[in-house]
Amino acid sequence: MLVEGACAGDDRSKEALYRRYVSFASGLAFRLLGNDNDLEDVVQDSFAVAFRTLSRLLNPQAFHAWFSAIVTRTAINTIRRRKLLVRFRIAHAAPVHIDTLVSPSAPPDVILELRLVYGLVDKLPTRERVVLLLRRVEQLSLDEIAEQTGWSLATVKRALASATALLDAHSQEGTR
Amino acid sequence: MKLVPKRIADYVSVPWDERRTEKVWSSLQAQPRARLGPASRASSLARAALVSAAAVLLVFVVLRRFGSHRASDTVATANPPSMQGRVIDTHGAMQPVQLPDGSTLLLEAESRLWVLSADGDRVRLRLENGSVDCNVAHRPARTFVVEVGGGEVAVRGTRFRVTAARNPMSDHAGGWHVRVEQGSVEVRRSEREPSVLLRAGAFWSSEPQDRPAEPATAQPAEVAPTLQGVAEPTPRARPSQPTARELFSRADSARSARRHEEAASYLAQLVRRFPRDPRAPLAAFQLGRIRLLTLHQHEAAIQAFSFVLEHRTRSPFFEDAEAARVEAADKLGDRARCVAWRDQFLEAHRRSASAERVRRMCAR
Repeated sequence: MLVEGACAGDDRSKEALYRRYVSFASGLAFRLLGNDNDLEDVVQDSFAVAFRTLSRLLNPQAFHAWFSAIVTRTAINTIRRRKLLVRFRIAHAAPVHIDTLVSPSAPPDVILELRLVYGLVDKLPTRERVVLLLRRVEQLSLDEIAEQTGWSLATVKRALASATALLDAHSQEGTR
Repeated sequence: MKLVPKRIADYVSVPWDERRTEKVWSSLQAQPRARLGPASRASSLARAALVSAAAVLLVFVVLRRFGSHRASDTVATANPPSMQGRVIDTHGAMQPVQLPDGSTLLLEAESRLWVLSADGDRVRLRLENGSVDCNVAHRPARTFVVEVGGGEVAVRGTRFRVTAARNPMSDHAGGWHVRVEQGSVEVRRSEREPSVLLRAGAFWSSEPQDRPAEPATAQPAEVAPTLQGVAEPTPRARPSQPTARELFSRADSARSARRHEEAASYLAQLVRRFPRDPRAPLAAFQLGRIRLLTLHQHEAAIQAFSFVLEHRTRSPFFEDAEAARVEAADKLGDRARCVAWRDQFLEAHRRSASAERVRRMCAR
């Protein structure tokens, strides 16, 4: 009902949709970015794109998956843009702050996993980084990752294999 | 009780709060339609082919410009060589402004500010509408004055907020008020009156003297002026009660200006006096959110959300109200109600966007 209302240009429905999905969008974007620097921009851009292209969504029931893909792709563009800016020294690197990122209520095995993954992501190329986070943190299937990122299944598998190999090496370095 | 397994993602602390929700929403509302979406692939390719030779320089310029309108920028307005005579109209979005003397301003949505002068010796601003937060750089030789509603606020180095209160019932100029966060400021109601010194934490309000004041029932605790040194006129009752539409509009304005208690007061009046109005469920939902997230009145928030749930046929916010009611019970520490409502929510809205968040509640 909200999606249809927003699609018809009803501002109240848009606001309701925004308020319903903003914590989901900020959560997903934050976990992909790993820091707070561009978080508001990603959330804002994601909703802007969603509202602008809502008429292309044929099945309103699929809004959640469709919107997840928008947030993910916006986060990917932002990560790439920031890397470029950092490379040309226009912006500072925004490192992951693992200690503030992991919830204090997390069990030890989850803390370990999050520390391992987020300890590596800054060193990974964007594609490997995103695939690793979607797989290990968001716990999506390979098909879901392919759908969400717009990359082919083969690309996702290759990126995940590459990231996992680096993760294993990183893990072994840590235990030595 | 059901045991719901958590995902790893649920253990990542996301630094997001109501303030950021409102900030991004303001920016979204103000974003011109032309800028809302990505450029088409075809035009991107064509552009890429055309600029290949001069790409590096152009990319820098485009990236800098692209970044200058984002919500997270602390200073979105350019710092021109001279800002004198400039009128800043924020329309629907908050807008940060940097002055040449190093001071920064944050204008609320629907605010209008004139920069009468802004140089190293003298900054003089005139607030016509809305609110401005001023973070004034400390420079002993420079004067910094904000004119508002016939009076003025003078300062040397501090942080304070000035609001020109609008009265939706009248076209007459409204009163204004000042809240000092750091340092001290001098406030003068008009040229004929002596100035009053306000220190950090003080709130000062100037009720307009040429029109009836707001009815006493609509005057919330937060805006009740804690006046220092100036006697307030006694409020007189308005001849007619505001309509549901007017209450809703007042609540919206108060909410935009972050006067949450005032907004809650208007919304509560609307729900109480006009329960059958089509706006009532939405008003109740907003009331519940303000009580829950800003005022921390959790039991009162539950009552507001319960109103929404009782009027489910008229409310698209039903699902959100159900989730928020669980959150309110969780914050209240009422485990029995929290668990019952949480399970009820998860049963009814398993695929909801709020499901993950609700699943984590009632852990205490």
